[in-house]
Amino acid sequence: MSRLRTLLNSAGAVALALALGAIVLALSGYDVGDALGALAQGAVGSVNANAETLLQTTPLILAALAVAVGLRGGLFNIGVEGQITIGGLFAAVVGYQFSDQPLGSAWRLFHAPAVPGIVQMVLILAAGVVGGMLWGGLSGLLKARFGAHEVITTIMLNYVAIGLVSYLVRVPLHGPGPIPQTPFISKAAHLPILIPDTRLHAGLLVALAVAVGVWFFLWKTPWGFAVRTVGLNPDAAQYAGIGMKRLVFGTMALSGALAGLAGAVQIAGVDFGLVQTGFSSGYGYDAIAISLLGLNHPLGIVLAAWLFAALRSGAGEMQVAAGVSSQIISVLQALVILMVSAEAGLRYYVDQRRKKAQTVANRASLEQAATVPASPPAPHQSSVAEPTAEGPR
Amino acid sequence: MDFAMFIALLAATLQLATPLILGSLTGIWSERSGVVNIAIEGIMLTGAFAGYTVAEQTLDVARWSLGPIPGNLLLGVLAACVAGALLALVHAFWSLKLRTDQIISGTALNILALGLTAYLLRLIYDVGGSPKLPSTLPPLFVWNLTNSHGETISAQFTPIMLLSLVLVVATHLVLFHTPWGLRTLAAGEHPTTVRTLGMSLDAIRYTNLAIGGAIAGLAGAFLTLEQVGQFNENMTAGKGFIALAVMIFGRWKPFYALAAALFFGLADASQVLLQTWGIQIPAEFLEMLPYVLTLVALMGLVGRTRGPAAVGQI
Repeated sequence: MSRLRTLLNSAGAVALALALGAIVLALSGYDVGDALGALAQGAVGSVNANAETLLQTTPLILAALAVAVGLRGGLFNIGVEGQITIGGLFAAVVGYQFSDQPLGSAWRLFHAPAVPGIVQMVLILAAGVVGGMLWGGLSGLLKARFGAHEVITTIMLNYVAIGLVSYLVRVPLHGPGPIPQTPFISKAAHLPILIPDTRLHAGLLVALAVAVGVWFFLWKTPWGFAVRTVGLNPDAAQYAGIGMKRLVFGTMALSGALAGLAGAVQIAGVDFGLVQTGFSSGYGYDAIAISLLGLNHPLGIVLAAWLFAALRSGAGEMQVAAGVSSQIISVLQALVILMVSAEAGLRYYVDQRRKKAQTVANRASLEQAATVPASPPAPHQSSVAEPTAEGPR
Repeated sequence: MDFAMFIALLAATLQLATPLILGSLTGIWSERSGVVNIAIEGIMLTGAFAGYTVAEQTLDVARWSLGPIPGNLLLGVLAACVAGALLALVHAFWSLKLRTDQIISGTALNILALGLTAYLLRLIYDVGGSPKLPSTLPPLFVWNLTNSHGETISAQFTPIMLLSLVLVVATHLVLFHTPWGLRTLAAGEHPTTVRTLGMSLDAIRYTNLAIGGAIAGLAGAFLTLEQVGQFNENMTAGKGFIALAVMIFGRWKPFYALAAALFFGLADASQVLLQTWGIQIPAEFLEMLPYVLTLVALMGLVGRTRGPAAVGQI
């Protein structure tokens, strides 16, 4: 019931954010109806639009799950962007080994026989997981072994990942053709298309399955319990005998693995090779917003990822049809987060006022009871203790 | 390396470090009073945009000048500081009044700043981008030196660059040697004490966030009005996040943060130096150098850091 209320309130906050966005558009001198119509058309207006939105949703779900696992364990992983990139690198490098096309000057690591496509797919996704796990795990290791703050190390490793991929793709992994990018993976390894004549691929199903898996892990397994305990109260976790160092390392490695999978899914489903600039779509930063908007819960994340993807894929249509710069989407996304969180804040005050009113009523009945000695005293309502919100740092 | 080279490297280091010094001071002001501020990047970007736009729009109006500094640039710097303070106050309102998780609010403001500046840039200046200002903030003093080859090398020291050093000292003095600083530290370490003494926790935090925001706005003005002379989309390019790292690296202390920022600047500056010396290392590795060095330093030297105890609590 309360979850339903949360959902409805969030929907209201999203509507309010869109209304504010409409005001911004009106102040800028655009026809609001045209603009929002084009946005909706581009996001959900046709089979293809829906497919494109779901296509964009896929990496966002995985990347946001990566952020959420970190935050649940009390670790703020700003390095999802870098982990996606390294995951994509590993996936692309493993993937093109199976290609029967010329590789240009790109390294051949092993001579692969013509293995079935499904095996290639699994290996590509696994490679992405390993890559992301290494990159995330490195931050975890630095924290566990040297106490280095994960916010610093993940930011630094983002830049290192970008530099590394940029060099590798330019020189030793440069595929055939003038553009610096890795050779493409073989056609057999492409993730199957879900809806004919669209680009929507089976990666969406992978992402949804992983979302269920993350939910199961966090709430139904002892390891997930340990992760959440550390996130909620590190002192209690230590007292309960949870090995903090191993857990920090494990949480970051898992978080990185999810991000790496996002990169691999992009390679196997959409891009088929990695360009010099990596993915450069800012998935990692959107992921932080989505995870927070989805209350770090897999279900919330799936919904929030869809919303962000819809805005992303509607933006192009809005730019073409209504001439509105697609940058307005970032403004809308920010407004959505601000409104949803403001709504939660306002609800706190409403709840507090209700409790205060109850306290006053109780006190009144208490005084009444004092004047009539025969009646038993009403239970005393203690004043509400201030909840403290602990940031992840 | 001779003396002239050394001074030139020093000036280049300071120039590259300036946004990081200012950004880390922003972090120190807000986190020392107990509010997590990861919106430094967004505030910097907003300051850069506001500073540029005001300076560009008042080009024909503000024809006066203060010493060597043209009036429009001065107005721009002020606008950058005001815009930065306002955005920081939005962060304060959301995290203190509306009780939003401070990371959420900061993330939202980063996204908002990135989107809104790019959107307004397109709206005001169309696809052509922002026109370059006729002048940027002039150096307050230039040091001309002759190196061992007899060439003249000039090290330029510009206003905001020097102001950032002044602000480091000022932040240190205010935080550790004034009543206001003690209140700030108390708000960050033990907020209940502040409440018990009958002081307004919110007043302390709002004020500190606004001061920090103005400093980050100044960092933005440094980019547009002192270095580049125009505004480009996402021109902070992660400097606000590196500033956050610098703050943590500098253990939430102004002078340590200065040292950390200079370390970054030096790694950045020596990258240019190595390239001019013709040392054959792929450019990408040189660009990675500051980040790798930070990671190595974290392993050996200053790994364990502890922030203000009550940071994030309201």
